[in-house]
Amino acid sequence: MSTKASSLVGAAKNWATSYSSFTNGPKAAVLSVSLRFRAEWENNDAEAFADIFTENGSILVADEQLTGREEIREYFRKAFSGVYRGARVTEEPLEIRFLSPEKDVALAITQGGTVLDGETDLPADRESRTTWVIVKQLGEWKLLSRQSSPLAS
Amino acid sequence: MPTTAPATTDGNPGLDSYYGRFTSDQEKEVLGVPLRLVTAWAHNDARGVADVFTEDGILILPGDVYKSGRDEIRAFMAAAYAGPFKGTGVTGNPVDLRFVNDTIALIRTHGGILAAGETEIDPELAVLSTWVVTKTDGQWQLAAYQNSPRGAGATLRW
Repeated sequence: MSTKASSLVGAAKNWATSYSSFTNGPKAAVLSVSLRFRAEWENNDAEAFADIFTENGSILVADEQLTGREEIREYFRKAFSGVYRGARVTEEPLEIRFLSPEKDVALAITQGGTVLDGETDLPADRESRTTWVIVKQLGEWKLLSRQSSPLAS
Repeated sequence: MPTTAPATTDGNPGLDSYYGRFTSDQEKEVLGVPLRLVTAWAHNDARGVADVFTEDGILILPGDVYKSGRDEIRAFMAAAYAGPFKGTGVTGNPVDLRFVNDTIALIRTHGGILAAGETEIDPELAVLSTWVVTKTDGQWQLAAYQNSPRGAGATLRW
């Protein structure tokens, strides 16, 4: 096997675990938003990252509240070339549920955090729980809101 | 059963200031949810707080608090009100309100716990909160509530 192929096999194996117990079905479709979030974060791609959100989407980053795709794009353009360059997101889904009978609005809870460049693991004092509100727009799942709070006491 | 918050502010300038720029009838109706929580909290009423949530509502707080469902929330709050949170109040103002559709909305508030006898939020207790609310049988309730420390001085963990 070529180096490229074996590297892809390794990455895919790791990637598949991101779905945890939500591997298939409608909940996996909801959770795919968090995988795109993770992927674009690791790609340090602010444009693609912002496109994961709805136009009026929001995210709390540490103590910084960002609202609107444009604000998110601007912030992460800087952050991905600064503090989050080379960083990766590691988190595990705890709960996914639909809020509407049409199953087009969902809530997800995850636990994890951001491993900065140079770190091997997530420091326990930076672990957090996160609420995601994910909505289906024109057939595509988009992120409306993401908020985290620290887990450590 | 939870009571419905007043939908009008006639003769209540405090409510006008609470609603801020969210003045439509629909917005005021949704913003009744935090008001119900504030009222229940003022009485340290754990059942009242739990009843603001949907039956399977989720409560996430800084520190290792992740409660699912009214039963867990009620038990958790009853213990908190018997312990260090006895006599505390809670306050907050909406800073953002987005409707997903007619029966699902997202509110963000800035607020915090008021130590017993206090009327201002100390920096240690300042939070920003997200409220995911859903309307069932004509009643808005909390499907999920999470708060996060607001500002570097916000040190409260549960």
